[in-house]
Amino acid sequence: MSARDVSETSTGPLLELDGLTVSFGSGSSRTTVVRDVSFSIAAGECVAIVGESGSGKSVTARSILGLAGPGAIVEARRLAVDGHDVSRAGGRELRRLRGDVVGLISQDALVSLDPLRRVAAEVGDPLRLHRDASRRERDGAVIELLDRVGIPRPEVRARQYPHQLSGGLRQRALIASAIAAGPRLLIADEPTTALDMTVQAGILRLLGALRDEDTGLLLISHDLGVVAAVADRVVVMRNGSIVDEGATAAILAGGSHAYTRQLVRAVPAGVPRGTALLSREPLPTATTIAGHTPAREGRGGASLDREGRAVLSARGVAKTFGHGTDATHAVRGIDLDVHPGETIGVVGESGGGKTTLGRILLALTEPDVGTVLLDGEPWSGIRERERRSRRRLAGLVSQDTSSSVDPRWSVGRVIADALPPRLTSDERRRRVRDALADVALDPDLRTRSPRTLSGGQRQRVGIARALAAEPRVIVLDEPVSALDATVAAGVLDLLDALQRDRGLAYVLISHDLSVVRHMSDRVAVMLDGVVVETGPTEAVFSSPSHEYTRRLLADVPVLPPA
Amino acid sequence: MTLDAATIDPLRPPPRPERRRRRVRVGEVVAVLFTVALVIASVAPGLLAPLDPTAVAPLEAFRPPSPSHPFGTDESGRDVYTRLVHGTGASLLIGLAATAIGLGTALVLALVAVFGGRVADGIVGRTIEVLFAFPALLSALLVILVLGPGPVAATVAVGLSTAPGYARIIRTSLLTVRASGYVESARLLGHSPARVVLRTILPNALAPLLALATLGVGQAVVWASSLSFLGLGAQPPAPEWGAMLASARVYLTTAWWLTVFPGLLIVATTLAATAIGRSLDARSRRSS
Repeated sequence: MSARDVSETSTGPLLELDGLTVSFGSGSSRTTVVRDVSFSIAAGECVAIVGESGSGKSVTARSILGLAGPGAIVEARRLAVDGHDVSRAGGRELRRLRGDVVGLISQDALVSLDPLRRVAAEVGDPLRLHRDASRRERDGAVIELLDRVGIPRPEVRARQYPHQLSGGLRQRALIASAIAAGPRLLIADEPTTALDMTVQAGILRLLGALRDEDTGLLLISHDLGVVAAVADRVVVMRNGSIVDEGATAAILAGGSHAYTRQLVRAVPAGVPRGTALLSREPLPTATTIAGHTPAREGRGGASLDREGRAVLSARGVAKTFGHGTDATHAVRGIDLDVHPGETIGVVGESGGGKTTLGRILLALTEPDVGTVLLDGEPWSGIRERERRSRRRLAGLVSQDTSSSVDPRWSVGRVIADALPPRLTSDERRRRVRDALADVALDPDLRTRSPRTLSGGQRQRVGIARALAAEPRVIVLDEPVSALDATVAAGVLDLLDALQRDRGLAYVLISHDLSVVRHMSDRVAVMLDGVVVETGPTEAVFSSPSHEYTRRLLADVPVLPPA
Repeated sequence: MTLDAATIDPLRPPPRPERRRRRVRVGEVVAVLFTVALVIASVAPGLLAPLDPTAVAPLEAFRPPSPSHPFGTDESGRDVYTRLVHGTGASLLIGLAATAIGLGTALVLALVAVFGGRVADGIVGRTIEVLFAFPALLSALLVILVLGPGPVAATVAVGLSTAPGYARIIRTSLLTVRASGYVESARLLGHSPARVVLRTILPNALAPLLALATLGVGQAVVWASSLSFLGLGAQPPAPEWGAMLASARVYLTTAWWLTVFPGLLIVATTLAATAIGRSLDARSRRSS
């Protein structure tokens, strides 16, 4: 009896999980990554598992399909999909299940789609495997599917290869492939993590629509905003166990467990500027971290050094890549002033020119038109030789510090390399330890390779390095996009405290509007290389004047007010 | 501070992160032991083979392998085992020197290509492609044509003929590293181009090459032996592996041991170098 025969007769829950335990290894090296997890999903219901990296949420989802990985020992009192017990199912049975009764949407569509196959072939696969559909039937069905998941011009896209599609379209194609055979249960593992807000909103609407058509949905996410948008119930996992469970609204209101409150709290949405995310306490106006003298007193609009000279300013900068009809106007006519102690948030979707602007501000890319001044002196249009001595004034913290540090160097050497030249070795050692202490890292970490650190620790190393150069302004390019919510909140709190402490100017580039809103004094909204709206953060966010800003804001998944 | 500042210097190269316990592979152990034996044979051949490699004993000619002559004797009654051991130094030196010459030339070419601007890159790139069109042995023969036969010429010839391959790999490696985030970070800190090249780009670009060079040594030994076999490398009666093979080929049907043992040794040397090279390569990949 095939899994499908069962699906047409069963009436119970789509997914029943009771006492799922997953472990790897054997004997003394055996580690249990999922412990006694139980929940069920009914048709037309969306259950979300939230938790941070390493909480076991992905392993749980993959165990359902027998994809927990080689060497995984999966045990369960009951593991049933559509009334069919799969806890002891073999490879052949599981293969029939996948794509037919259960569809999987994974995080990264770029690696999940075969680069050498056209979209049509990929999306039509489940039809070929599970429905014995003929070539002609498949072609028709694929176009219908692509249309259904909201891919414009499906007949063109079907003939293209994955690399010709944008991230959002790729994710949609992956969803089309997952729903091709009409599975009753969809497992979506971080389906929108790599996507822009607007694209994410579209994907979430699509998932919601599928749920309304009676598909069961298991959503794995670390983003509570995403969860709020589609989930009916939420399961909170930590260290392999379920710590909290309940209706979405109840969980978002803080649930019944301290960890749930911590997760909810880490979301920067709605937390005013100057309030620490993790503690919810106002940040001191002049902290004395590691004994540094505060650069200035007070904070807030009134004391901002607006009238003083901007530390970094751009006037009419523009940059075009390519020539003739292929030309891309990455950045067009941008004016920007960053004052000491101030954070300018730059928001917009990918391809909007945010990164190019950041590179121009750092003088990594020379603008075609316009000028950039650093500390009142020319910063663009001069020779690299003249720039070199002043480079330390402008620093960068990028999204992924592991790729921006020499892979052979220890944390200590990475930071020491950024220190001013001509220090004695004693002084150097002391400053490395201070720098680590400033970012709340154990000084013992200095002998470790950055690659052996966790994502949050690595980001702190990146910040410590930027600070070691004693900059006046730091470009933060998606500084917390790769981090779990609570870890990200810690890093944002740290950045905030350091700014207050040293009067640093930040240019914060992010696609995450809630991060920008929490961190920035002023924002610039970019669309197609142009700043379409700029102004004080609260003014822009509460009464956006430009259509695009309104659209961006509408697409931010929001937590219902607690 | 709770820590003794003097014990851990942040400026020292990083201690390796705790490496996962690795199963020791039998092949790697054998390869290392064999390499140690080769090194001893090169430095102090007398320790392994006390006899004189050039002592002629006509009455003892063409003896098959026996307890007194484990690898037999050649047409002049010289002990094949002794000659092989004494020839190790010359053969290995040729391999090492050839690899060094090849890598050195390649490094210069690649540096010119990457840092010399677009025109230089074009010139070097096309030159490498033209050199690639010739079989390596043929270009080695061209070098010998100019320098005249002999061990030094053979070494230079093999070295130069391997250079294009290395140059191409180093060039790609340099380009990859130069475009990396950490090189950009170094630039952002205002470090001088020279410092960035020496401290960041070169170490990272050349690290993967160590493994490749080990593989290259084995290859170079084979090529040098080929040249000796053709009579263009080490000249008889010097005990060099390739030269021994060359002079033994006349007796292939009557005295098999004269060709089999030198051949086996060349194969074993290449295998050992390859095994070690692969193991190094795997290690460098694991740590990167």
